[in-house]
Amino acid sequence: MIKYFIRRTLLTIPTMFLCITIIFFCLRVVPGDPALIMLGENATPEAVEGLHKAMGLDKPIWEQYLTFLNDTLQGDFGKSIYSEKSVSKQLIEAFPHTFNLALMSIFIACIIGIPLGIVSARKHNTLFDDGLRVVSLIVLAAPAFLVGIFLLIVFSVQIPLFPSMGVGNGFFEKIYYLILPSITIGTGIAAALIRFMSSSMIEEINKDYIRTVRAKGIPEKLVFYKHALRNSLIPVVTVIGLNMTGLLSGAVIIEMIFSRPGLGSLALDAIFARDFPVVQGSLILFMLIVIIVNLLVDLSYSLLNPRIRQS
Amino acid sequence: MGVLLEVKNISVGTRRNGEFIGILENVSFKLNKGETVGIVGESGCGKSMTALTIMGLLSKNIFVESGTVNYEDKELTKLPTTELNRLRGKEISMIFQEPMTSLNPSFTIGNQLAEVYKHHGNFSAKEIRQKSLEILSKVKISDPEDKLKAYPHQLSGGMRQRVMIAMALACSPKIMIADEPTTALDVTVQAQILDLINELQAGFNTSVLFITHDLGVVAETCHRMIVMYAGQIIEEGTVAEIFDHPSHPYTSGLMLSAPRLGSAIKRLKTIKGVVPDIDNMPTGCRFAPRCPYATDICFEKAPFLEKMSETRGVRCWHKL
Ligand SMILES: Nc1ncnc2c1ncn2[C@@H]1O[C@H](COP(=O)(O)OP(=O)(O)OP(=O)(O)O)[C@@H](O)[C@H]1O
Ligand code: SF4
Ligand SMILES: [Mg+2]
Repeated sequence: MIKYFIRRTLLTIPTMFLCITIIFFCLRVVPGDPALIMLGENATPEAVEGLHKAMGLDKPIWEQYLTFLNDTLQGDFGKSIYSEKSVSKQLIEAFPHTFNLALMSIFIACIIGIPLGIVSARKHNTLFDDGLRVVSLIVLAAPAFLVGIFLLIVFSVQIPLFPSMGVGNGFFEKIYYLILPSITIGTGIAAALIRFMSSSMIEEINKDYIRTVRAKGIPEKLVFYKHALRNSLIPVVTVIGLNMTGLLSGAVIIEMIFSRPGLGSLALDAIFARDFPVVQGSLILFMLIVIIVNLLVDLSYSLLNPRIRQS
Repeated sequence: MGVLLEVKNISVGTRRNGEFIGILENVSFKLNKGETVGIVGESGCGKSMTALTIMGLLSKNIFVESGTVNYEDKELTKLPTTELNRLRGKEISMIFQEPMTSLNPSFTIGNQLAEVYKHHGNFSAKEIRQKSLEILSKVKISDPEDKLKAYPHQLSGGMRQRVMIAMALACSPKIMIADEPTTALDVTVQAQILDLINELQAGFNTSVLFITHDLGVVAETCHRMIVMYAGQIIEEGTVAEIFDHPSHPYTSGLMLSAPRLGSAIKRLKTIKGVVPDIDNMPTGCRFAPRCPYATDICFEKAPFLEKMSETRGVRCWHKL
């Protein structure tokens, strides 16, 4: 298994390299001259050229690419065009807010989605199951930003239970500030998770080995919560992992709605302002997160599944 | 010999568009203490369904329409699951047809074996381990210590079937139902598993209901036998009686197609035609379309299972 872990981890290196390269070349194609943006529309051509030189934009593209690669590997993403603040510093400041939001959203999705999925499987083809199906379809169909705005209006403006902006200080306050935004994202994922968990469980419960367990006189509770559950969780973990990446794009919008200074807000502001280094840095960080999350999903999948674990 | 299990007029089927479609029709037989009874018949004739009915393991869309399964003072078809669970695995256990898929892939052999002891007794972890090791050696598994830690995918089919047997015998049950325990295995492994079941049956004095395609196996292991066709019992009797003189044309056809050990009915088909579909049962004798002795009455009127002696019964208008 250690071999598998190492091999899987090493596999991320070429992936990262490829992604960084793609990001670099994509951003060079996008219109908008950074120097022109920094100096304003009325800058003299000499001034623009001078700045080009200073930023290394006059060099051939492959040389720019090598410099960029070298800087990136050292964690240097340059400075923001506007604030002159180091991009890596901005990213490091913003990251925990987004990370907390993602974690809390997944947590909420799991505590709602997995138990309800199991119940739905146990009560398959009953009125309860049908009702749950309808509700989760509605939640699935509702766009996250609408849910977010709705929650914001009801539970923050109309009934001032929760804050409408910011991230708070200290552990408990942070969690308090996270509740509305993570419910917004979490319920959407939970709705998908319920259906997925339920069908995965139903598939397991009809397998041969379950009949063996029942033939041994094992109580129905254990048949479900020990035997079927373990196996039906394997595909669910993968889905959670895949959602984790979708979550990032969700977080961008939700952070705007709840005015949270996370990666989403940072990237979005930078895009509107054409702040190149910040956009570039955020993209690279997003990519890194996606790759690492996928790695963790694969590794945890192998921990759950002995057939992979032992080979 | 006292009667241990009595299956009485069991009819089992499914429902389609509100209409009952029978799969087992009026199946009755007894299993005595310490006896091995074989159930034979072609694929699809309802052998597994009979076993699953006794175990209360029928799938959701299948149900018992009428009849009883009596074990000691209990009627198993009406028993709630919680009470059934006190018997299953402890007093009545079962080995299945498919060793490759019958164990949970995510738990170790030790874990799955320990479960049986945990739920049918009051043993400490140490005692359970001790008992597990003992039973694994009894079913002739080498390195039982290692096997306890192994996952099902690490074992061969024959090994897995031994584990299944170990789990079935863990609590020294009074009845063991073996549903084609060797069909999915290699011929050499088949013989080993059969020997093992025979040996253990004698050692534990367990009554065995042995389901098979293989008449040779019945001749070697069983005292009495039941021949099924299209959901009905068509002949029953002691193994000696039936092998000596099969009275039903179907049984006699089976004998001709599989005279020796190891030659399964499936492979040597001398009986022409196939088992009728449950949707389309012949009105008279269910075997009539394939029977060389069939006359008019056979197509019009269904024969009944006529008792010839204490042990013998035949369902045919023109017994051989
Ligand atoms: N879940 C089910 N729903 C509907 N019909 C079923 C179901 N399971 C089995 N049957 C039907 O019941 C009949 C008897 O099946 P059963 O499994 O008892 O046969 P068998 O004698 O054990 O055959 P084999 O030797 O292949 O194991 C078959 O015709 C089969 O098609
Ligand atoms: S009743 Fe008739 S058709 Fe049926 S087995 Fe006997 S002889 Fe053949
Ligand atoms: Mg069968």
